[in-house]
Amino acid sequence: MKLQSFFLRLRVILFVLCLVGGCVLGFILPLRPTESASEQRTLTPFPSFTFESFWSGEYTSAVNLWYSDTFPFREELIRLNNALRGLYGLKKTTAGSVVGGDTINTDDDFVWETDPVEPDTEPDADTEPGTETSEDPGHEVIEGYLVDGINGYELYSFNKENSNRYAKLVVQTALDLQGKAQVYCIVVPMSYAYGVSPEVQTELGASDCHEAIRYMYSAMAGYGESAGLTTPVVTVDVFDHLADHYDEYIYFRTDHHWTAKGALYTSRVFLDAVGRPYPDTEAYTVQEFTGFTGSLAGHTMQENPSLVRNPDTIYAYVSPTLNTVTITTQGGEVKEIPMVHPDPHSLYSQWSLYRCFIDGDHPLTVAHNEAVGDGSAIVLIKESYGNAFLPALVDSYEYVIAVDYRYLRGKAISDLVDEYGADTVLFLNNPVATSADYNMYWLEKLVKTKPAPKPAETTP
Amino acid sequence: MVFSSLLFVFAFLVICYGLYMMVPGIKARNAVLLLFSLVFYAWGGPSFLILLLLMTFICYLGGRLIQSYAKHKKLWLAGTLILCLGLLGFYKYTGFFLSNLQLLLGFPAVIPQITLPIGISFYTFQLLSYVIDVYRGDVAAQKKYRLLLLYAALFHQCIAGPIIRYSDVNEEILDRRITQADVAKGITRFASGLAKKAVLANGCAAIVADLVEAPADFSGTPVQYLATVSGAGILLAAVCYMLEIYLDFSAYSDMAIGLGLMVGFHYRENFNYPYIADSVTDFWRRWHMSLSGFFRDYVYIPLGGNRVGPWRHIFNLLVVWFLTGLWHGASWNFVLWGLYYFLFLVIEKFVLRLSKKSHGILRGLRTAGTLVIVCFGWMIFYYTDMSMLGTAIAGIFCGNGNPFMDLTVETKLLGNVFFLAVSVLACTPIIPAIGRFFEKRRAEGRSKAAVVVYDAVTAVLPVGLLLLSLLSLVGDSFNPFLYFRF
Repeated sequence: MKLQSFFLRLRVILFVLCLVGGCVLGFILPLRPTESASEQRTLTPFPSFTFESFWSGEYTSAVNLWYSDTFPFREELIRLNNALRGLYGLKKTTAGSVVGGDTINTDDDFVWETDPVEPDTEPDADTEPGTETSEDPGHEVIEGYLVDGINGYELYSFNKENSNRYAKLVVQTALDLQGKAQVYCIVVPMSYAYGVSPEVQTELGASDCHEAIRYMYSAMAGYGESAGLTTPVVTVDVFDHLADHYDEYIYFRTDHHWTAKGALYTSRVFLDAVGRPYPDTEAYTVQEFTGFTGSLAGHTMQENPSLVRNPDTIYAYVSPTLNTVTITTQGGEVKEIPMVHPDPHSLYSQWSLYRCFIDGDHPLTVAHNEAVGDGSAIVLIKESYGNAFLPALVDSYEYVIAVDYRYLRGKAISDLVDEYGADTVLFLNNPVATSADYNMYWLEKLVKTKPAPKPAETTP
Repeated sequence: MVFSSLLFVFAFLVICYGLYMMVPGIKARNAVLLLFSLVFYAWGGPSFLILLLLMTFICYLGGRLIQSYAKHKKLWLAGTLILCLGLLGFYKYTGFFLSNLQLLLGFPAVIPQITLPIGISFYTFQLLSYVIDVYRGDVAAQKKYRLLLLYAALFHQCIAGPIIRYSDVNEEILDRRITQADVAKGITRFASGLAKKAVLANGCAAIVADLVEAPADFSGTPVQYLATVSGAGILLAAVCYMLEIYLDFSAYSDMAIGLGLMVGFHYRENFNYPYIADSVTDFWRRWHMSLSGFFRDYVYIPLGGNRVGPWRHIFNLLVVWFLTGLWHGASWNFVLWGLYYFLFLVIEKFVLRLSKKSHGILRGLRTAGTLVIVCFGWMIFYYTDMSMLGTAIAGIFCGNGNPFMDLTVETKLLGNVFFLAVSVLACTPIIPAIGRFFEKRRAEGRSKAAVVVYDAVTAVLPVGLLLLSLLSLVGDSFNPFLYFRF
């Protein structure tokens, strides 16, 4: 009886201590985090009081949200929770299917419209890829995915309307730059195209990636011909080339991006196509950054901690002749930064290490390699795949001008071509972006930005 | 505010009960409970607090008039019922009524959007039970408004039940003892409920959402998305929803009962493991017992109950189940759900004439059959849109051109098999049976070492469950109870 009473008392004391401890912890305001590295977002701030919000209950609801969203040691508790969720079941395969893409028919007729439709209203940024600011390290919405063991794959469903839109925008650029610059296009295959069997791809609703790329290239050829383009867009199909190297860690397992090696192999195919020289791989210094848990890990960690527990290693190829770029931020600041940061762990969390390449997504990134010295220039129209690709070009072009079309405002592509004397424009994009309303909206905005008026020539 | 939030557990509860234990005397303690209950309710919007205060006043006045002017007590009762049910009807059913009118007659052109005050269905029924009990002479009218308000607004049960009868708590409102055993029991009950909600119910809800809810960027309609889901996916979602709704709702009752025990209130049970029922009749004797008890005592029995001819009996059942469905929501699918159970109850009572108890294999078969009926019933409950329900039913049989099985379902099932097993276990009386086993051993003076281990485990279990719940709740911005729309 005494022992029973003791344990009853112990139960009460332990529980009360736990509650009181949690209460005290909750009120230590300096311990409350303001950012979440794993979710790559700013946490809910304490709400401002207004009578209207108080009366409607919005204020107290926001206080509730702030309290739980910024609870002390949140990241550690989430990590523990994810570890616990790892015990929920047997297999470590997790899938989230995409919902049926459009049928891909490369034999479609591609008729050029002389008055393309103006972009509609800006789509909701929250639901589209590439919605982040330049401060956000490439956090993109993952919808369809597959985690198979320790390998994560982002899936993609082909959207015909946006794919056609993309093809037209590339052709439009080629029309605008006729006689000035040759336009190239590389749509980068996604890792699932190689790592996931066609049967599973179909089951999960993922589109045939290679077929989709072929479609877009056919569309560019068709629209170009229909539009009377005299220097057609040169499309570079790297699918088979990357297939040959798939086992060489050319895609991250925990992130939707490719690795620097994948970018390097692709760059060689491109540079061969344009006839530009490039150094041997041995010339590069390889920097190694361990512990990278990318977007797929973040997206799936609550359901399946396999990716978080098995992080990637970033192998970055640093040019022997140049490791700086000049970026223009969204705020207009212009500054010089490392092209491949030598110590990204000091700047970025484990979730954002891909930012070691040119510090992530900025509207404009320019690499000027005096060692090349022939005045050659290339304008690269990209999303975040281009970040790992840029370093592979700097020994082949004196100027590499990378444009993130999601963020560049007020400058036309032809302005950059004129400014740097570029004779080559490369669209390097991933299929998910080419099928996304948000991305195509901003690409269209960029392509249709009118060039700056030329100053009137004065007669001597 | 909800029980399963960090703010409630680590701020509200600690401060409220801390203050409660410090103040002397029942009057001060009741004042603390009342103040915190009003804050708890107003947390969702102070404007709705006015309605709660008003409805309580109406019933307070009604009760006083019934008792003091018994000659016209029918009038006072009728007036009180009209006012309270009128308010409930206005807030909850105006939109439903007008949208159906618009469908039939084309007017009104615009249907006003009326926000449903949280918990209105619960506290309205609670107050009505009080007034009717005063009318019947079962309880004396409460002379102090603040004590009736405490009864109606007490945060333990105000917004999500159980529907407490006044007679169950009127003595404890004025005089209650806090014992170590009750507090310990209350702590275990609260912690179990919290874990049931935060870990199990929320986990099941996530599986349901992943399986059948269209992702944010889906360009089609929810019905179009549902048509692509595999048959096994729809079935798994139905089973998980069945688990979710029980775990969610019973968890809230567990927490309410646990919170009550900690301060000396003893509420009745609201659930008795309904998923081991061997008939629909048995199911409804185990599910949301406070609601079915309300309809039994205040609608079914006054209509004559089963002490009438068969057709009148069926009519009485029809009224009760129509109202039960309607109480759950202002939508035809809830009415359909109520009538669905009416149908099975009639079949059991009048066609099959099921005996009360069954045993052995027959019990197993009846339980399995009841589970199928209940599971399908929850599908009617879940799919508030009729076309969604039709698509879901067709989808189970691959009638949407969908496959029966796919990789998503396979991975979801295998990836959550242990979790689902624990969720199923939580729906059975196995754990309380283990507790009773050790208590019996203790009473008999046997297996002393095992009993000590049992006591030690139960001593640390609530803290373990609390910490598990904390892990689940961190980062969850909002996890509302399913019954919050009622």
